[in-house]
Amino acid sequence: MRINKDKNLYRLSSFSIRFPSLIVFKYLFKRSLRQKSYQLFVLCLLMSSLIMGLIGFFSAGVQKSLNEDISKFLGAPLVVSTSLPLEQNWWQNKTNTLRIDATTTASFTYGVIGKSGYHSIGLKAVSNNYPLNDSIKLLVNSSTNEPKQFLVSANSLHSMDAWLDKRAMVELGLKQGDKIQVGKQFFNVVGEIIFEPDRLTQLQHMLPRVMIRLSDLETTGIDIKNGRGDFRYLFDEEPEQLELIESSLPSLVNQPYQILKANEGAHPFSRIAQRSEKMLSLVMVLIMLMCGSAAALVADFAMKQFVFPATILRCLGLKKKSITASMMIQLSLFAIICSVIGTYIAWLMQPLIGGLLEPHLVIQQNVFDFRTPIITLCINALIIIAFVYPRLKAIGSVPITSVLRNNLNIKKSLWISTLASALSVTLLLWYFSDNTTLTVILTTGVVVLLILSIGFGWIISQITTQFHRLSRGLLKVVLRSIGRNPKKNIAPMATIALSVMGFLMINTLRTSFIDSYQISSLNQDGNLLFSRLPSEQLDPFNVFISNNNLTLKGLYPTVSAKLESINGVPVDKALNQESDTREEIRSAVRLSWSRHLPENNRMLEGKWPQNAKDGVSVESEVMSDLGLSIGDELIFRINDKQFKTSISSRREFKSGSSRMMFWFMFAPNVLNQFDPQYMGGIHMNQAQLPDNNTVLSDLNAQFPQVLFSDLQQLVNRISAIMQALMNIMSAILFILLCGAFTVLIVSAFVGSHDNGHTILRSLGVTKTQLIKMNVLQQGLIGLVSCLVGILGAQLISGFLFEELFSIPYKADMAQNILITVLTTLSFIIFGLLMSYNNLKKPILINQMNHS
Amino acid sequence: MKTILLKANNIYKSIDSQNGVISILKGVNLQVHKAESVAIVGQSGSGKSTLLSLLAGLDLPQKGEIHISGQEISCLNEDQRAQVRANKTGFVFQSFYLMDDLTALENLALPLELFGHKMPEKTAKEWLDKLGLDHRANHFPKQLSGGEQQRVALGRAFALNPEILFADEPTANLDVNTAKQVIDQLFELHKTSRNSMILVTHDQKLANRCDNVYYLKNGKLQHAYK
Repeated sequence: MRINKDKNLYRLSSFSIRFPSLIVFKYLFKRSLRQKSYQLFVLCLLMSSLIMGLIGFFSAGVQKSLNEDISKFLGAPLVVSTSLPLEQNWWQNKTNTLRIDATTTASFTYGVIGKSGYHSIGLKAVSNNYPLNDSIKLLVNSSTNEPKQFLVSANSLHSMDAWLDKRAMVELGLKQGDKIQVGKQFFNVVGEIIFEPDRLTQLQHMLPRVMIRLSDLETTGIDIKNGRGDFRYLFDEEPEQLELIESSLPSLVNQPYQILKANEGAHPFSRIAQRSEKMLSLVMVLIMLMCGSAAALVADFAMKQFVFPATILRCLGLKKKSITASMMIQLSLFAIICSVIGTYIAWLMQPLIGGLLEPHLVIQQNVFDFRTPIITLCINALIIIAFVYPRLKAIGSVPITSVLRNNLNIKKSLWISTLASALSVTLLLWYFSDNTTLTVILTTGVVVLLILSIGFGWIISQITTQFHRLSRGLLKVVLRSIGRNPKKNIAPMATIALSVMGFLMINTLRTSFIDSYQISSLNQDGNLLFSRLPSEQLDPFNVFISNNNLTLKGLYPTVSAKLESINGVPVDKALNQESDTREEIRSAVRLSWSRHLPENNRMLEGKWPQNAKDGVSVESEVMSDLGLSIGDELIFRINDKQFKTSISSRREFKSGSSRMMFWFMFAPNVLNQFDPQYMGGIHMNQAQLPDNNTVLSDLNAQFPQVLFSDLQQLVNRISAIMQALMNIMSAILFILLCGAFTVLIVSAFVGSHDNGHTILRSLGVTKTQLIKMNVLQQGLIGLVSCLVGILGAQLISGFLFEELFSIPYKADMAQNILITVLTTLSFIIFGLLMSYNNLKKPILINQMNHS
Repeated sequence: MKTILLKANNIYKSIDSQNGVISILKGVNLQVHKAESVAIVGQSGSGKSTLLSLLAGLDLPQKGEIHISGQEISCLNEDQRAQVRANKTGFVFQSFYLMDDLTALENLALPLELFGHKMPEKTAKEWLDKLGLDHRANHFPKQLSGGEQQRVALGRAFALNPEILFADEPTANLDVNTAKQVIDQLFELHKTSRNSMILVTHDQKLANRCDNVYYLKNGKLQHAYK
């Protein structure tokens, strides 16, 4: 037995001689698990994985939902748009390997003839399977002439039938059962379109709508090859198939085309999707920076705790490489475990976060597979390489005797690894964003942010601490301490400054994100537009508005006129080139008048007409499109009379405010001889919403010839997306604040482990004085961090916002003051907690000597 | 008859450990007169530093009384004891415990600044001159040798002219020659300021320089020799 025991010991010692690293690894692993600083570092890795996982999952889910919502507005996730028709089934290549189907629509600005005569409308010819992933809401008269609502597809639209929207019905004086002439062909009006899924992204969405079958388009004799059509091919397949279609387009399409997707193409929502992607990328970068700062802080502290044991091991004869390798393997294992656990917890928390933060948005749940933790693992690995490895190497380079003499002057020398990590993060960002410009802009912004926050932080702390020479007592000690401990304070200051910057930027984005055009137009024009209000009904209309607590938002007189000639030449001859404007000018236009230049216009040439001699002011784009100039003579036919005028000024319509735009405007009283109709907007209070239908019904009943357009419904759809984005940003703000709070806790732990407080207490400083010192110190650090953040936001955000979001960054003084006060208060409370933590420990010399 | 400056009666102190409660002091009695120097010696782990902490008011005994200048400190709360420390005592640690981010001058001036002394920097400078460290005034602790750091710590402890000075193994981290210099400085300051001094030490030579030597064994203090 004894012999065996000796043999085993011999084998073990031989083993340990030959493989010291394994023994070291085991010893260091056990030791690390017991060390609070190490536990904190591992917790830091876990929190980083969790926070980045949360942001990643949430953003991906919301982005998917957002893209799906926007795809509904487009009609499909992928739309190919051309101005000339492509051959039938062009997407089915010769071998038909793609095995997909598409929906086709063709839209034109065209003139049709109804009972009231010729009128320009938006004609849309659709294939049978339109719409692709939604339905058309149609109002059809039943056999008893009672209108009923149906959800249909174009399959229900028969040959030679047409569906019209209400505006087309009214403008053309038609009802169901009547006929409408489109080109050479007559169509039966068989239904009224109440809802068309992809209307908002069509160029002619403001015109009255007539919908026919695609197969009937040829029979109309419309010149579909004049390059003015909008031919759209809608695809809704699996993402891989869609990618394949998109990549095959250059070989399948022999003419210019445009791709319309949620985040691409000339439609109103692509900007929203692009902004959302950029914003999420920006936030991800900020979160990574915060996690990196926290990790740097903790790594520094954890490695300092490691110096003595590492030195003892070196004294015992172990090589530096062995020790470093053991620690790196250990940390790598923890990085893997933390990234898997953190990402998994984040994945599990998706429904909770989504439900809490955005209950109205159906967020798609991401799938968790072996690839999911890769990003967080990469980030954790980069944190270790950037912040831990250089310190480990530096520990190895400190002379043993210096350490034993308690001279722990560890110089961090390996900037290369930190730089390599930073470059890797940039590459990761480029890979996942797939957008070089965005990567460059974000990287530049972040670098400048870091330089600013560290630089400004250092400058301001140096300036602040010079004041110590002018102060006395506790304040002097505190100010001096802040300035003399830049390393201790810079990391939390930089992190808080970054958080404040991130908070201010995201909060500004939140308030600017709402499409100013849509919302300000609600403010200007109200949520219900009306037109064709006869002058004799103006007074009863005003009474109705007043009795129902509505607000009249603009009232514009209009006279319907048809342009007959330009400079004596009949319009048909004068306008020899074709365009949508020229098509529309062939039907009646609305003339209006005003005493002054309307607010949503800007005078470009000439001056505002004051009387009949001053002629007419024409909108600039219309003038360019029709080839008109100042001084041109125009003859309009109003009712049966001719009205002659000349162009005296050119003005520009400014989008982004009121939607009311008139091509031709006169001075007041010029058109007095003609009986005007009125158009404008009404605002219904949101609180009245449940009663809106009653009000609308009453309006329609009392003023049957007036046409009402529910703008609110239109804007609601857009607002829903905007609201979702705002809520995403709220969620991100919440996560950002949690991250900042985590960093505060980390710095508290790190900061509470110095002997400074104990020494001061042994010198006779009372608890109250110590609390005051802590509170003052933390308050100053919080204040300075906040000021740096606000300054950084002001300097950097202007650039970032213009480049990424095309919106200006406006500093909000009230918000800045609020942030400063709240941050400073948080740090003060934090200082109190630190004090409490420190002061509950007794001052024991033994503990001090062994610490 | 000399005034009794410090009186400790029947002091008991125990600590909680993983292996249960350990009684360190079991009825310690001590009297220190004005201007007297006392050394407390004993084996490692006998409780010398613990006793010193209690006598200095850094901690409280479980049982017994401690009086400094007639005031019982063992019934005071933390802040009251802090005031006693500020007004009546000075402490020198084994590991010096200077503030790393302050220069030698600032370390010495620290208690003067904290407790409202009128010209802290001037006084601190005078002390540095006295200690022969005026050329090191603007150096940080890391730039000073062990002996220089301990001399700065001495200056800090003496700066407010305490009635009693407590020193916990002040030369333990110093080499023989440096330790002799520091001890010489310590006793010179003790002589000029005429304060009382209580030292904990392993160094027999240091203990022999004191007026009285006590031996701590098995939780009890025995007067060894004069």
